[in-house]
Amino acid sequence: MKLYNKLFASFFLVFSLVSCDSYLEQVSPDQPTTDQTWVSYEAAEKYMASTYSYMQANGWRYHEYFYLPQNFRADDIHPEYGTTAWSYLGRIVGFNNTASDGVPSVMWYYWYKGIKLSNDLIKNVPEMDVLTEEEKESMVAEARFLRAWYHFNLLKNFHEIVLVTKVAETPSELQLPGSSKEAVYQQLEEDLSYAAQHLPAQWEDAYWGRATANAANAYLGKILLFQGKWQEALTALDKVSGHELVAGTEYRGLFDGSMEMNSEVIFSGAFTAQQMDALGLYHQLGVAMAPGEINGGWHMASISDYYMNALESGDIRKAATVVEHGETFDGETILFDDPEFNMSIKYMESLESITTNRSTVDLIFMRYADVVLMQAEALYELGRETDALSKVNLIRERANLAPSSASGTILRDEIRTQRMIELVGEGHRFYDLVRWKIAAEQLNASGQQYAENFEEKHQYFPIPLEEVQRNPNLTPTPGF
Amino acid sequence: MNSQHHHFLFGNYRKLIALIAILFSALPLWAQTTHSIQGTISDESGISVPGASIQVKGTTQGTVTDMNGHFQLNLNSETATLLVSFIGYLSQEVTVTPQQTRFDITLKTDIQQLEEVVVIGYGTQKKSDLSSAVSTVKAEEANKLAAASPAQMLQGRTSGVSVISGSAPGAAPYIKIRGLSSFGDVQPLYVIDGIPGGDISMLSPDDIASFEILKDGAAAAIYGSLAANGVVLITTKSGKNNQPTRVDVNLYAGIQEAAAHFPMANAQEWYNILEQSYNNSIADGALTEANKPLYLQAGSGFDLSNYADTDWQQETLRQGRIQNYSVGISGGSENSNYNLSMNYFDQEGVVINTGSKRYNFRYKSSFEKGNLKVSPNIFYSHQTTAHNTIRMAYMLRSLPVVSVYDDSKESGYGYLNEFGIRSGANPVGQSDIIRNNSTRDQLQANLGLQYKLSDSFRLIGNAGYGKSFYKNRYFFPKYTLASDTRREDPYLSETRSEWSELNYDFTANYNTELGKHSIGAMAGIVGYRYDYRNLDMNVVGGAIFPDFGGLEPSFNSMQAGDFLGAGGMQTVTRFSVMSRINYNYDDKYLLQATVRTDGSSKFGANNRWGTFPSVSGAWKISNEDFFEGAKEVVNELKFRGSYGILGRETTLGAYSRQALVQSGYWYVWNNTPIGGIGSFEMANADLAWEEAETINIGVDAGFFEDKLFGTFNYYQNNSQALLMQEPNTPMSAGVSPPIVNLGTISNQGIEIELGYRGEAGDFQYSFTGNMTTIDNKVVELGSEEGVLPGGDIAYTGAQTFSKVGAPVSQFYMFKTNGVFQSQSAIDNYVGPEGDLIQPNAKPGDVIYVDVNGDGIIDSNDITDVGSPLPTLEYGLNASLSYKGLDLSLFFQGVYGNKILNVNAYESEAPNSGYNIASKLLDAWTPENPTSTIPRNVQVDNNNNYMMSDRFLEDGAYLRLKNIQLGYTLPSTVLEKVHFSKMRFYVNADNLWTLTNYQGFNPELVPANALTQGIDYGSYPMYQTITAGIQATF
Repeated sequence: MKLYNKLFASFFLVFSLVSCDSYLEQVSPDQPTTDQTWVSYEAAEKYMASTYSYMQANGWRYHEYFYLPQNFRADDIHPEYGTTAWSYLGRIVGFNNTASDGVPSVMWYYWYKGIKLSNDLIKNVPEMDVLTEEEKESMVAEARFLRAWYHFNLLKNFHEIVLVTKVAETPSELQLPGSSKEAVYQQLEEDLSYAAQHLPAQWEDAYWGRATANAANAYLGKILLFQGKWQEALTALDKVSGHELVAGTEYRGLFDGSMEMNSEVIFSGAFTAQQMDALGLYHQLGVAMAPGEINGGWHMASISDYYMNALESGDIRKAATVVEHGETFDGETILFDDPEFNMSIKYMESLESITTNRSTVDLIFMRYADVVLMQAEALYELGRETDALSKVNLIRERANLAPSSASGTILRDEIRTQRMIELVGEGHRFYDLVRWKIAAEQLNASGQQYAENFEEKHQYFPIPLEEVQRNPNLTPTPGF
Repeated sequence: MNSQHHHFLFGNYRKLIALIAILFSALPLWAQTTHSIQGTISDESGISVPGASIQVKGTTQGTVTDMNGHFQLNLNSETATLLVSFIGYLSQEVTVTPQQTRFDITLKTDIQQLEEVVVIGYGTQKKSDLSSAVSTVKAEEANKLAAASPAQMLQGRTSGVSVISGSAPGAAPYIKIRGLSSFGDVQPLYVIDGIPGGDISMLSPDDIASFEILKDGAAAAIYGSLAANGVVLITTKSGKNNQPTRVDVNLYAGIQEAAAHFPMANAQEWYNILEQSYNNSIADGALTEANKPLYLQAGSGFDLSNYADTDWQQETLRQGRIQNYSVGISGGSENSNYNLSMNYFDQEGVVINTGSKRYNFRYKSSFEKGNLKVSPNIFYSHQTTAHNTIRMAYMLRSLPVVSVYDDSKESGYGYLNEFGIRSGANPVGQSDIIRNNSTRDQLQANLGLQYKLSDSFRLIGNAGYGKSFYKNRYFFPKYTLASDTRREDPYLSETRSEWSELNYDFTANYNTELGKHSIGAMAGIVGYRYDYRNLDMNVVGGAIFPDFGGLEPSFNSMQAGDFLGAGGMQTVTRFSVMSRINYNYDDKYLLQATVRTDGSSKFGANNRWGTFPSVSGAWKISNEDFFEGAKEVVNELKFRGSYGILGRETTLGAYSRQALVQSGYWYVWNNTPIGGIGSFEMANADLAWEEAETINIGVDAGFFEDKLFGTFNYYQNNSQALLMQEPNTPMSAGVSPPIVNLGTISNQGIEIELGYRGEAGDFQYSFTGNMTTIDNKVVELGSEEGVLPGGDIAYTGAQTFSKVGAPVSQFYMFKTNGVFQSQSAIDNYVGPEGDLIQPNAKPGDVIYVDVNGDGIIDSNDITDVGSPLPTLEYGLNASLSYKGLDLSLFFQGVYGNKILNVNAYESEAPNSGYNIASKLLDAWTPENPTSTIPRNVQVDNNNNYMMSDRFLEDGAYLRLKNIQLGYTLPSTVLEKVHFSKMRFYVNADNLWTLTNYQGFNPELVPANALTQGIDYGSYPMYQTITAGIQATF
């Protein structure tokens, strides 16, 4: 009996006192923590790649959540029933969206994820001893460029946004107040100026697609232009160097994937057919823009008659942008059920891409033509009409059009029209109309079928209801 | 209630034995008399015991007492030892001396045998000695239901336990005890044969002997940090010592069928509703004729009669077969016993291509050698499941004009992309082509050791090692199921995971009696280790033969494809020290106290250890002397009270406190995919235990010799420092919601269980009922606003919110008030400034209530419209038997809750692009002005179709869960066929439901604690009809 008691006592003691705390100390054996990540240039670079990945979504998510709200709400592209028959998409283009609509919340969600990862890099990279000062500056510059890019997209789309420059470290820091547009612009100017200063003008080919100093200057120019700071905008845009307009003969190559790396593109969103089945790094703009009779397209939108009427004859951009009934595309004659239908072919590389529901053409976010047209606009607003005219004529010449000699508001309208023709389907028009305060007017002028629903509040999306529900520092956008 | 049952049976038995004994005692005795003795035998309360046996030890000589407990015996010698025994009492030896002829013997009650003993966790206790709230469900009550899973056996059987069985074959059940007490996981702890953490869906219902549900803090506290959601102890069947070998067979087979059909439009109805919606929008000026899709345009050449009229529910739902075969062999010798059982269960789903099979094997035994007892228990289970690959919400809304099969299409399944009709994935094609199968294997080996150091001191050790393997295989070939649903290449994905759970405990147990004082003490340690590994691999394309040439697709046959893999590992450890003391004075006053200290690897060093104490007491007033007079009416009455604190950590992942970096983000540089890394997690070194503070006050009573019996409990449960994903993490923060300790929820209510048993001749009947009221309330929340939104519902944002002072997961929605019947109603609906509140409205549009009175309908008008949590849950059982016939009925119901019918929301908008409910035919029109269904439009300027309380319905129901009619063959017949028991039965489950709810099924498994009462109609509830045989030989 005594022996048993002793045995029992020692067994109990051994288990309860000696082994416990080491027994209970468990950390993940195979996943690093955030503290263990910042150990090499390669690790930071992998973090950077993830930071880019929230600029866009893959597959159907891209055209529904990103392309549609950024392109189907203006006068140049009109929604068709492949969009309007689906109520959650129809509400976005029909201007009866509510604060709980999912499409804008996905943009909000994705872009703030990108901001979060940018902020991680901005905070941690300067503390990495293994990097040279130059590497640190370049990497921080790239992250600040992306942070600005994400914030600018939010700013263009939403009534009110939250400026996030720091990652919350405790739960009490998760909810931030809304920021004034001025405060956001102020931060973006700082970020993009820093990026322009510290990023390379060009990456070597293996890194094609990463932000450059030129991209930073072009975006800096753009956000200044959006604020009406014409001279500062011009100064920034003039710093874009080493880029040029591709020749008219190469123009279609910008949009069909045959010439993705070129001197005109400054910043783009990249897709690839490599490991397509496994990774799905493709979008579906080809199938989305085609009508059902063309290889089973989804008939989501068309180039508007308003746009078609704005085209001058001989404009080489027409064939690069739109296919009409009876025209040839990808070697075949295209016949639509509705002969009036105008099919957008930007980012549609082939008929095969409609059949397979897969397109891998890179999406252009910034190209030199945009820079030239922004320069023209800034120059015009600064009263330098001759300089403005020469810029817009660069665009016209490349399009095989005779130079314009317009002046005054006719010149202003010519710049605006060239912006529409040149940049259709690249996510600019609606935001241009809003900043020029002519959105309602142009929607009506172009006969957009939901134009009468458009009110001033529809210039921007409301803050997503889910954000308001979780962030007591924000109030719901009135009227939604 | 079961202890009373035993009393009752026992009472009858005693009479019977007495009768037999008296008959025998009338036989003449030839033995030679040398010493004549006599006396009486009585029990502790002095009542005489008729029929008791008096045996002379070492001889065959003996007698039994008469009706008055009197006996007389003529012995052959003047000295002898009498062995006095009677069932239910401890046997006694009495020494006979030559001087003594009169023996008045008092038999002591054999408490172990007389009274029901319940398992309480690291020990057992007499049910009558419980001072805490424990419910028992015996298998013999519950196994009448042709239960597909052990969870079904529990449903409605006892108060305080809410059970919702997942309806898909093989799906996990949802069980919660005494209300929703956490924002995280609310599933109770399952302890199977003493080993915590089991998965009850792997068990065969035929293997289960009993369930014990530890409901209050004092009962569950011995499981400390595992116990805050309550504990369900499951004891499997075992053999008994000295039991001849017996074989039990249970066979049943039957059919199952979906219980409801959601009324969707047929082809003509679809066409008419769509046409009406376009015409209305054109009349509104919102559209022109040219905006109509071609199928509605005159002259387009569209002819509806060329198209199919498919009822997709008809095509995807079917009658499924269910069958179950169980064999058990049990027995025992003097020092050992065994039970071997095997089970095969096969259930075809009511959705095509779904089903589940389960194979079980269990060997449980016990060997005694001297003071040592060894109890091995080995269990193996193999389960295969064919999962549903149809997206049911889309199936419901698939267009009727699409044909199921179409030979002109590549895959042979119909779809449309013509005349402006674009159909989605063909549901039958989805089900046939996309295969998703899983198998699960579990091997559990337990060893129990018990060593008796003395009568009062025992050492007990248990170790259980369980190893589980899960394998999932998901495959589809190249297919086209719609113009937007196509795969260019075959795809194969396999997931393997394996995990092991090691549980061990070592306890010292001490029991002693000192006069009227009875003391029990237990102290020990418990350890736990969980290891998990998983591996996922998938491949796309690269098939050697494009159609596999009839071969099984595998990673070999697709080696040229694109591969992706993932996998990892986790370990969780826990260690606990515990002790328990029981004190009983004179079987009148009971006291129990426990304390358990737990340490878990899920927490950081700051808060790793938690201590969970409890205390409970009871007063058996019916054992008091002064109660004697009342005993004729009230034979048992006990008051109980308890208090305890329990812990919870289940919401935490193994490494929740760490911020881990993930891979799998992809971007493209230089046209080359770049695999990125990133983290959206937030570290929290201060995570601490959730604590649930519980109070229970109860009464157990029996009346008229337990003919009428009942239990009453009042409970209160405050769960605090709740672990949850920080729900107020806005999207703008960019991080995944971190896990934090936040908030307090209280649940309080009463539980009543009542039963009545009786008989009239050969007719026997019993009725039992139970009810639980639940008053759930959020007491405190971290944020100042005190609001936790639930999950997104059908892309409309959160519809459920948990606010301080209200129940968890309350519905907050736009409130409606019918439809505008006239233009004047619209014109008169004005705000404070006299402006129209709904300026875009037309007659037939929905009236939204301007809750805040500001004259605008916007998100500020979203308001409280009801709770998804029932305030009352109840169950009713009736058992009737007459000679060999038996009939039982079992009803179960809930009351006081609302359900959001998401299928209705999604199928009542003609502009959704999908099929719609046929009720839209009855939508408001000027000719049908009394309709409450808003008018059909395409351009929904009044937002008629947005999520609102229009889709919120009364969720109360009363359901006949089970009705069973059985016939047991009489023993005269059985003897001829050498069976000791044979019963035939027919059984029906879910035969009848009384409810106002319009969806598939008001019994819902919630998505999570914050998002309750949402019906996506994902898998239909079914009715089952089976016939079976139970036989023993």
